Amino acid sequence: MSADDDLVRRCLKGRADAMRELVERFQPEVFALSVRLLGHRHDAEDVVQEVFLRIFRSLKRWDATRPLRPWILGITVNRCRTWIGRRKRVPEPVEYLQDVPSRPTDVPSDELTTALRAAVGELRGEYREVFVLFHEHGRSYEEIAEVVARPVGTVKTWLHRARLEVLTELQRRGLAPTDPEPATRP
Amino acid sequence: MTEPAPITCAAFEELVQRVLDREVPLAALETPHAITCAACRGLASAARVLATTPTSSFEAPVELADRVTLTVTGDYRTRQRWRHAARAGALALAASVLFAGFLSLRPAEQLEVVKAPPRQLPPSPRVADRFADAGSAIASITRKASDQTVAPTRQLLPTTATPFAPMGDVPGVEPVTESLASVPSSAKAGFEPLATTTRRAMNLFMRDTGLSTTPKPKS
Repeated sequence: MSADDDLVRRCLKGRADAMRELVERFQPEVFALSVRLLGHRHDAEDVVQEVFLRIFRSLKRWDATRPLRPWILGITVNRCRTWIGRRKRVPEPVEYLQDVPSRPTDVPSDELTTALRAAVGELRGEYREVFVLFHEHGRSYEEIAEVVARPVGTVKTWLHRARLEVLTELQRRGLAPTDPEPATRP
Repeated sequence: MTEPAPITCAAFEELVQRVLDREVPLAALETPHAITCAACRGLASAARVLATTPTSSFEAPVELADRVTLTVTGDYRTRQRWRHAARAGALALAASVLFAGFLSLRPAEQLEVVKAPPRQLPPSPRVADRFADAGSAIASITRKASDQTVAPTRQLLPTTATPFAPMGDVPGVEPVTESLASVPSSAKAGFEPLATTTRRAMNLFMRDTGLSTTPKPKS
């Protein structure tokens, strides 16, 4: 029996200590992914609560033959998609936009990082998901395919297109010098 | 020594993807094509930025884990309570349905009973009544026999109601096989008048019907 399987069994028995252990184990990654996909910390905190509620309500349906992390990240991605869709339908008040900008302001003020985050924020939903999971969470193609429930080939295609869009945006912002490097003399 | 074939922009783009996949090192982008092609040169430069820029780290609030744990454990307890209530409700509903089904069956059975009148068996006869009936039957037979014997003697002319057999088939009155002399004197005393009367009646009948050979006495 794997560690994940043992933890899930204890959670299904209703043990509060097991529930806390599962939250503490996966909450950092769930929160970071939510911030990167939503671009807002407060939204990410609300989504994290929703994610874990959904995790514990559907824990019985988890396939014990598969690892737990991709399943949890998949729920996170789905909740973020729902949140983004809801945010688009409901007009946000002006005060909200002024006080809570759509781009995180508490990230490092490095220009490159900010520009990179802006470029990633401009990507379409599924491109942004695979880009963040690969470049910012270090997940493999196979793991990303399981999270987003798509074939590996589709994930590769989406990621390559996402990279090209980000690289183009970096060049547009002038953050990618194009001057040829001087040839080095032997 | 032959020089390597120049790569195309498509091939260079593929190379950039392999670098970002971490399959080949970043130095592989330093190709003659990147020097000559401005577009590919810009692509390579942006790829270096992407590959070398550190990712942002986002630390969750300290109390977030406590908040989330409190929420999920409370939700679990609420769902357990609802599950128990639903189970109790389902059991109560099932019991009500069964009880209603039982009640709905009972009136039908009663109607069936009312429709067909109960078969009433004749009461079993009492033994005393059976003996009384037997005694009455014997008495009636005896009375009938004596009436049948005595009644013709009351009439001078026999009625024609009594069916007679053809003359040829009329059996004669057979002589007494046993005389009354053999009967004990006490029984003889009782049978004597009956026997005399019966004999007289039969002789009169046979004489009048022409069956007897005894001549008719002159009046």
